[in-house]
Amino acid sequence: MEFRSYLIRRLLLLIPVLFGVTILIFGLLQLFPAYQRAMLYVTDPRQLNNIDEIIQMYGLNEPLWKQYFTWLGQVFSGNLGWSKVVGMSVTDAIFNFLPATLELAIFATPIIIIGGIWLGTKSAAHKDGPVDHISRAGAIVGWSLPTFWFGLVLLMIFYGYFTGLFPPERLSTDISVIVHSGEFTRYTKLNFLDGILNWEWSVVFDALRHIVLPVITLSVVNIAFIMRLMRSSMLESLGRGYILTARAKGLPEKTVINKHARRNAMIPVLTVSGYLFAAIVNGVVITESIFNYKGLGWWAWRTAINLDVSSILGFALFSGVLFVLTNLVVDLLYAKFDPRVRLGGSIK
Amino acid sequence: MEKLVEIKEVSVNFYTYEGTVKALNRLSLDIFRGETLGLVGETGCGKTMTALSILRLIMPPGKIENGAILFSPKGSEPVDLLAIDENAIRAIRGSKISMVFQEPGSALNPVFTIGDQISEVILLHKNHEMVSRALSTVSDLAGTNNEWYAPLFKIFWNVQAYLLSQLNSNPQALLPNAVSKLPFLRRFLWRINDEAKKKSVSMLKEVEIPDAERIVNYYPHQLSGGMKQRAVIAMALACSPGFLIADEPTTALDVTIQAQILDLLQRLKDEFKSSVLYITHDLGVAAAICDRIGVMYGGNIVELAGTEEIFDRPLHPYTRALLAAVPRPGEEPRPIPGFIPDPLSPPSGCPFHPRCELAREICSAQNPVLREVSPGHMVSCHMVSGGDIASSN
Repeated sequence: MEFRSYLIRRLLLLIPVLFGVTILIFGLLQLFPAYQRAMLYVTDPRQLNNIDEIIQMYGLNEPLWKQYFTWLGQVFSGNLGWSKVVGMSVTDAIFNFLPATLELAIFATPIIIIGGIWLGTKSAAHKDGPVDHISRAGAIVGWSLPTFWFGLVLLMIFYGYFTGLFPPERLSTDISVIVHSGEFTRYTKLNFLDGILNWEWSVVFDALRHIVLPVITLSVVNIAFIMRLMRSSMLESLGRGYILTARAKGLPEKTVINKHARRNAMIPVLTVSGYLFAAIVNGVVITESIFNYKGLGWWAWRTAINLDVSSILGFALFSGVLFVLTNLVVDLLYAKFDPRVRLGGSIK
Repeated sequence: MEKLVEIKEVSVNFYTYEGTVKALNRLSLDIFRGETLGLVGETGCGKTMTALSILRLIMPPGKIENGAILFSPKGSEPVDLLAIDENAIRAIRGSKISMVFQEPGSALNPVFTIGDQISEVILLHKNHEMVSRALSTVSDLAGTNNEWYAPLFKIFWNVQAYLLSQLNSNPQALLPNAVSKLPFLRRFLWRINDEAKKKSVSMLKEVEIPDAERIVNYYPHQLSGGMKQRAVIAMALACSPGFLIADEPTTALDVTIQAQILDLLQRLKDEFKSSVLYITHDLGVAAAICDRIGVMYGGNIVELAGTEEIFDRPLHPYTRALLAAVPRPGEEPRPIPGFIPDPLSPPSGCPFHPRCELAREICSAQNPVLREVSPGHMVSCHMVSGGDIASSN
């Protein structure tokens, strides 16, 4: 019951926040003069001859508030402009590149979160023991590795030395032919999932083979981050009075750590994990570029270096909305884990 | 009188980067069956360390160096709590010896309900009892329920009864233990938790929490400090331990609540026939509820006597100073001069000599031993002889 009212409260709060996001993006758009704003809707260079018509059509020289609502109407009808880099509308581009990144996130996030929490717990439970020293040293190394360097080294070893073992890009050429053939239905555009749904195991295998290296690259850096956070959070939790109570009850050390300490230590990690997922879905520019893995990050990078304004703004809007939604999910999980949030009590 | 706990020359050291801290220095103390023993002293004198070493809960960098703690629960041989293995001490914690902590706010885990936290200790130590209670509940239900819907439920009750009877005859039985680990299926065993919850409710009633059926589902932050401390006491007494350690249970509470909690502890102590080790820095509280009082200073007992004796005839200079320092109306407070010794570099000889008015040469050279000066009255001071203190001329 309390949870439901909390949920409703949070959902209502979502509306003004989303409006805030659109106003910010719209504000950025206002930095450009009207004819440049009109470029958003130019799909063909020949249209440049009658740019004034486009300005008229989208009301780009009307008062600001009027423009905002026209623009918002366009956004709601799915028209974010034309991405000249990839030659399709921005909305299409997002839906085209999102599955690749989502595929990456689906594999990387659980590995990062579960691995980080597990290592952090172990490290805190054996504070100053060999396990702790090794994982802390590992975390410093992992966290300090530059992604572009580490990705290249992985490619050198697993693509170069073991020739073609874990290749870059999303699919091999021959498998790509299968995927784009008529018999293969792309239900979700997540290659491994579509492979399973079409009962085409060569596609599944190939998709997984291509995803190994980017997932490793992402995991190494972020596991280190989550592990360090979890460790410090666990150590704080282990020093609290209720841990002594739990031990004085006669509970085995495993229960004390995995139940009493970890449940409390999870709360800050949860917040960061949510943002981590959002950040990965938002495109991991460097990782995707290194592995030529054509996802949102790759697209964002291309649009940025080509000053494709409509795409950049469309992407920014997408990121903003995604972050707001992730924030909502994190808050709900937060309430699930911490009764003080759910029941509206004060956090001491 | 029979000894329940016999602490023999226990030392506890903390190995910090700054050096070794001697938290307890060859401390010896007997606790008799059925008595309330008070430990008083300033902060840092080792009261809590004494309590924690009985339960062997000293965490690194602290370490119990030597000595023995003999514990003789009713009807069984004495065991040395410092020598038994980890499983054996865990079986004693919470069931035969339990502890109430100073801060009820931090002693309860904020993410579990009061009921969960009390049930946890019951399920840990009284699992078998809960299983047999659940079994009798479910067999009653299967045998006597003649409602129209009974045949529909009978199969569930029979499965529950079968699993519970397996568990009842052998706690390690494979099938029910496997079931208890599987999601959904483990619901067949929900009656065990239900019995533990009923027991939790009855414990909450025992500690005079109103509306216990509702409070049992509350989270700690929804309760007041006094209520939390009652819940902690309920948790400590859930397995009717023979020995309760109360570490300043009323320090964090205001005075009216304090009186209620003290009354409650007194009543429960008689009801459960427990012995209590009551740690406090408040001499008034100690006077009100303790049978004997031990005064601690610098990691050891400096004076130990019956409550009346210690208030009427304090012998150790520290005890006298402590009693004089109690504020009285119309009088200037008389604090003890100086500070408690630096635990990293304690003074030589008697730890109290730098602050003692009576200190002589021998006091800084030699640490006095605790000896009986009159029946039941023990003091460790060079200046005390023949049951009286030397004059300070």
